[in-house]
Amino acid sequence: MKTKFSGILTLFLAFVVQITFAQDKTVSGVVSDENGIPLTSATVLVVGTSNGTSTDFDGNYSIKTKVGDKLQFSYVGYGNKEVTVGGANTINMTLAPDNALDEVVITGFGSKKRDQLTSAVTTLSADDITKLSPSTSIDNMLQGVAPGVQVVAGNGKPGQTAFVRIRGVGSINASSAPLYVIDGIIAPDLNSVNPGDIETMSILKDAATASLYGSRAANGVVIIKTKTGNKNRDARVSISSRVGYGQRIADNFEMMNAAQKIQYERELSALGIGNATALPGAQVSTQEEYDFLIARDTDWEDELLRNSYIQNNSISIDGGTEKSSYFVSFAHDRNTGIIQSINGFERLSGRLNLNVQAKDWLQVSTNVSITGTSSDEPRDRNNVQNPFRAMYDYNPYETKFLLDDDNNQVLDGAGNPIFNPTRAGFPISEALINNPESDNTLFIIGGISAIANLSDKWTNTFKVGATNTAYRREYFLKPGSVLDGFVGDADNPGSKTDSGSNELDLTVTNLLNYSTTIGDKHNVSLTGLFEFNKRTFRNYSLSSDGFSNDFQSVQAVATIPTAASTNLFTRSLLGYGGFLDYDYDSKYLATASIRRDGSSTFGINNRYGVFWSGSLAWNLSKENFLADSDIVDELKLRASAGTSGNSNGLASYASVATLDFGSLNGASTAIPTDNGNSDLGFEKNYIWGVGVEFAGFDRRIRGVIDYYERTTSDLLLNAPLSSLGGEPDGSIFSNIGEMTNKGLELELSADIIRAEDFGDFTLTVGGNIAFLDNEVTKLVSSSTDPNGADILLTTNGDNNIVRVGEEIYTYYLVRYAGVNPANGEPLFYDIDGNITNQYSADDAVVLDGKSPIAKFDGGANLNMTYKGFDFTADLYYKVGNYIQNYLEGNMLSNGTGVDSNQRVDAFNYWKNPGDTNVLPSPLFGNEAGNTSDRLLQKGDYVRLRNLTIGYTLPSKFTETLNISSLRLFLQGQNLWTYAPHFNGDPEVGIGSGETDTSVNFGNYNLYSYPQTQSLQMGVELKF
Amino acid sequence: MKNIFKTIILVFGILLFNSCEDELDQLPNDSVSPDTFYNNIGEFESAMRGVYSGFLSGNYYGGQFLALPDILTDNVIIAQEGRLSNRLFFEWRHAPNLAYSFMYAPYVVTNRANLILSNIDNLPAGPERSNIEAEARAARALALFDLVRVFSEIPTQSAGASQTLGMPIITSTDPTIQVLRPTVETSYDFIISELEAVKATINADNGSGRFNKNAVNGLLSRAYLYNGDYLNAITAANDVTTSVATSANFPAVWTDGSEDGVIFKINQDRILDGVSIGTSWSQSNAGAIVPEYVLSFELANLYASTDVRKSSGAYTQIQADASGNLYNSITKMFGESGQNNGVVDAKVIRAAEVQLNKAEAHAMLGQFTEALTALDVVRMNRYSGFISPSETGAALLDAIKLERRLELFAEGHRLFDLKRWNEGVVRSATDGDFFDGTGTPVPSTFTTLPAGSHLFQFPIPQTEINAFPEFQQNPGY
Repeated sequence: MKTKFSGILTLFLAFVVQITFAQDKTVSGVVSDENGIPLTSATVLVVGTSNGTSTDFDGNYSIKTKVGDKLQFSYVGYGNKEVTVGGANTINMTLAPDNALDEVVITGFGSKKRDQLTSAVTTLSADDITKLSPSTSIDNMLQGVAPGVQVVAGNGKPGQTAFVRIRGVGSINASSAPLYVIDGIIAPDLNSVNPGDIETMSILKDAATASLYGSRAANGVVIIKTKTGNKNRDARVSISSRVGYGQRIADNFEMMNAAQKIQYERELSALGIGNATALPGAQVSTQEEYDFLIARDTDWEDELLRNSYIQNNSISIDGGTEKSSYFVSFAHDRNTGIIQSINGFERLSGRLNLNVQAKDWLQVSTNVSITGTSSDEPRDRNNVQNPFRAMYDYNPYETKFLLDDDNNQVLDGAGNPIFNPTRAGFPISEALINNPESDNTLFIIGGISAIANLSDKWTNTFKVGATNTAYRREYFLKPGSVLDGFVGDADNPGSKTDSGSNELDLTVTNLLNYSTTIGDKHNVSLTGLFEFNKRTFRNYSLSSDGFSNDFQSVQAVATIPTAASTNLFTRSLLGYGGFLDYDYDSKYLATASIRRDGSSTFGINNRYGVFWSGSLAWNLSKENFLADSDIVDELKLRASAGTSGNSNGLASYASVATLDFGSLNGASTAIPTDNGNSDLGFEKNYIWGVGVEFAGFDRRIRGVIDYYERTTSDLLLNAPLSSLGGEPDGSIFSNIGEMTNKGLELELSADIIRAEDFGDFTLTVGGNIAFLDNEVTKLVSSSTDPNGADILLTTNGDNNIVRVGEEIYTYYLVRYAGVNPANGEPLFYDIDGNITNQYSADDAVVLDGKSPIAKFDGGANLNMTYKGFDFTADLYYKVGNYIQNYLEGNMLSNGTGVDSNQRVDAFNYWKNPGDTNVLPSPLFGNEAGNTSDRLLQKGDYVRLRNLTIGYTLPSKFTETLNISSLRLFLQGQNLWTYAPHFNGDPEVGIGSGETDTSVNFGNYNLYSYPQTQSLQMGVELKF
Repeated sequence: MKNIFKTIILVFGILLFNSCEDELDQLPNDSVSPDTFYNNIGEFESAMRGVYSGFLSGNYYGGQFLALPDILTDNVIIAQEGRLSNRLFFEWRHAPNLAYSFMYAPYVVTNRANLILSNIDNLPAGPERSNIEAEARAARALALFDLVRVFSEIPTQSAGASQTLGMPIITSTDPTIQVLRPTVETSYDFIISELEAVKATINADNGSGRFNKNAVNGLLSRAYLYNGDYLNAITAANDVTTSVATSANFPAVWTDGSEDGVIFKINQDRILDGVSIGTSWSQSNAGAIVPEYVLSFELANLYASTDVRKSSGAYTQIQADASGNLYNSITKMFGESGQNNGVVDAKVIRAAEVQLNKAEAHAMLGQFTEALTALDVVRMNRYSGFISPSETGAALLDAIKLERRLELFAEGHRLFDLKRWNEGVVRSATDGDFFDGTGTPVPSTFTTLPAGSHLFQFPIPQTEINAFPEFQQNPGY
């Protein structure tokens, strides 16, 4: 069979070769860099055809072409050059390092050279991405990379994705997260993408590009293109592997040890604090008893946590034949996490990207990826089931296992030690083993497209993309486990819940493009778009009680089923669009777009939205007066404006009237649950911006400045209705609110030292900063608040307000006024600003300017190379956000939590009249514990996100090994943090994972999975 | 040839796109549109159970509406060891939105009833349709009656009460409807005319879990009594055929072991529905209660030792909290037999009330013999060895009022009875919350609510005024 196949192939090739021989000449030569060093795998392409080749190890190439053809030479990180083939059979080419002007940027539904862009787009290449702090999801890697893109890690759980906000918060009740588009397909979850597969990534921040995505683009768009192979090139194999370990980032405070805690309990007991008197420390009356407790000193972090093991292995193969190219990759990621006894996150992914030139006018391609993830889930809620709360709460004189009066382990009937329930009444170590929860997700994402060149001016692209996300969760309370004893059915011990979902997201896209050049200088491109998207989401949940053993958890073995439910949600989106690109000699650029989208989520009267954009840019550096400038290499002014919409995050059927079924006294009921709103429509986003891009001094200095104003209107809010109409939820969900985000973004980088300066040494530094100012401008009006009534967010630990004229989610709290030096009582300000010792929740005020949103943030980076060595450092900083430090509230509880361990500085409480700079006296612990801004702390911090040292073996070694490159590196993540105002880790995303909050993230910490730091070593090998 | 292929591709694309527009019509799979429902008797019955489910809401007969009218009065005292829930009501501190659920819950029920009525033509004429229609109209009338009791004056309360602000009559299903308040007279006229209209068409045998002929007549007797139309109150009461629960059956009525004397109640399943009606009074665990409100010492002493309501423990028992404090606790809604979760059926109208309505109506007309007869029908079933004291005149009226207080305690009557009699609330300034009158007394600020105080009419919630600024607020707020 194989022989037969090869035979056919040979015949076929011979046939092809014969035809081509007839008309071509062969050109060969060497491609090298400016220093004369040969460039391996540089691409040589006959312009306007798919005919191309790449250079071999010594930079040699050979290509069949003909006189008059243009040859294009390109190499990653170097500028392209073109040469017209003349009589010579040898063309040697020297390429100069990266000329950003020629960088190809993926935009809306196509790509452009950077100098042709008219809008604010931040791009990252595969090279850039490999230099970032590694993570399993790309969003975490973006922190500090792109100005105007605020990234807050969800938490430190392996596999956790991040909160990303492009140019501010854009909604209150719908989603504020950007749209992620991978190879033209909306990504279901960023864990579905192996960051190593990414060739280029564009963050579309303004209207001119994002509006092309219409009703889903209001919060910005992140476009990811995965790698492809090159035609006419032998397979290239890249292997990358890294291993390392991680640990919790140490706190910038100290917890009490056994001696300190005993001392604290004794002090408080002496003060007469009721809940201290019965504690072991307070009961100690002899040295012997004291020594006995001290001997039990336990570091609970050591008992409950461990170092995580991190591992990433990936291999990719790319290459191509004359008519096809391919990219194949496999990757395996593992991060055990830092919790004892449970496994963390694991991911296995594979990808195939294939392009085939089926006919000279037809190209077909497919991108397919399969990604499976599994994760052991710890309880992320604020109770005794949370190991991170236990780690801080458990007293240091308590031990993991029960000890007898001689401090020897107590054994159960089977001879095993018995887990100590501790004063919390629940042994978390046991729960981690006996109450396992696991999440598994399988993502299958595929796109199939056909590009037909109908003529040299008309191109039609048809694409079908689909993602299937199969999610499964299992939660098993093993029979006999402590928790089962609390919540289980004594007659049917053990319980199991299997739940999950399956989501199919199908998109059909057709693009018809007409491109032409008029009079040599007017370049016009017109594109028509049709897009249809349908999402079908099914879920199920099944529970049973009664398991006869602790190792079989399928419900087939259970005694009685206790709950079962399934549901199905469908939504569709239909879009039509027209896009225009125009430039005059690349000097004057303009774009325009219009798009009309319809969504099934919205009311029958208002389900379509029309979104438009327009932009202009002027490449000053192409004008004669600057063309010869020695200082200015590039200068571009640009301006854009446009609209987009938002429907993400809304209930599928938010607009329709519903009648639900239930039961009363065992018989069916039919109950109207919502009257719907047939006028419900898209939230709308209008953004305008201006920008300058420049490069000078031989491109040693490069920068971008952007200013924008973004107004989101028709925000969906619940407008209260009079009860007279009997609306079941008392309100009508309507397009009402409005808010603005304004910002300034600066980005600057400089090549301080280039190789040509001192030889072999380079130093590049860069940084960015983005200022953001949010203001709510309109809410639901009422007779007392014609501009809009406040929305108070005061459930689940939120103490925030949405008020017209204020930043969204501004804190709304009673102000703490410190400790009365006379008696140690906590003081507060009343609503008028007078100091009082009478706390009243009615004294809460809007804390103007204090919100969970940073005033500015950004990054700074440094790259150095010397011969084969490379060194990279990335800093992230964030200033101006405030966080409620609930952990501190529990650790400095002023005696109310004396039965749990406390911070060492809890000793610093008021003791004598005149004491200042102290905590309130524990005698007033309950008063001090009233909700106030006492725990509100500024979240400013600087963090060393990434520190990498690498060494690339010189070519004389790799040559002998017959490989093309080999790099070894050592990488540290989050090695250093500076947080001057915040006690604890300042990177607060999810406060408490199983608690929904209206603010979403960043407004309090409450024992979610902590951030980690890691050290990894790795190798990158190419052959 | 090539161009043909290209054209085919284009045409294929265009055909595909045209079929997508319909896909934008997506409907939920776990609910239906009200427009497509109400097609047959089964669906109407389901919808009617939805109406009853609205009555069972915790904001309505599932809790608040049965508890708060007593909490505002001299019947109970707040227990200091409890959670101090509903304290603003107890202390008559009518915060702007305090009465929100009093307005919201009855209008939700009204809306559910109106949806049935607006679709009633989908059913063929006949007894099934008449019965369902009558049920829905009765439900709507009861909801309006409850609204006017809370927010408006009661016609007998003062000479001009009938011309003061009533509550809007809503017969439309428009969720955005805004209607100004009519007079009390208009509201009562609607309530009475609706109940009169349906009493002939509603089934007598719907059972106590649904509106039925006796329930409609019973409610009519109450409405006429409130409206000062004593002759009609008597007539309506006479049309009720349910007898007052016997002494023997009486205790089981409160654990849902008996339906004796219950004309209309909202049934619930202890596990599936689990609405804890009794938790307004106390929660309990093994051996101890967390009391919220307990009998005032005055009321506790009014129950004679021969009174089955006390002797059987059906209405009150001496129970202890976790600290060992003893209370005259409210046990009327403690739970089904053997339960302590407060989950029982919500009793809306009982035969004893109808007898007391009748007795009062006769007394107000000076027909003391008939009044005494009606009163004694209740008393002979409550007191062991009962011998009628044969009161007459003012003493008889006082006896009727006393028996009404004792019999209907904790069923949501006391506030409205005081209001329609134009009497004030007088609480003891010295009696505490414990069983023997010790403990913490009511602060002196909250012992007296004078007759005719504007606080007898709850304020229209601020959120209602916000949503409908022209809606008339009650005087005094």
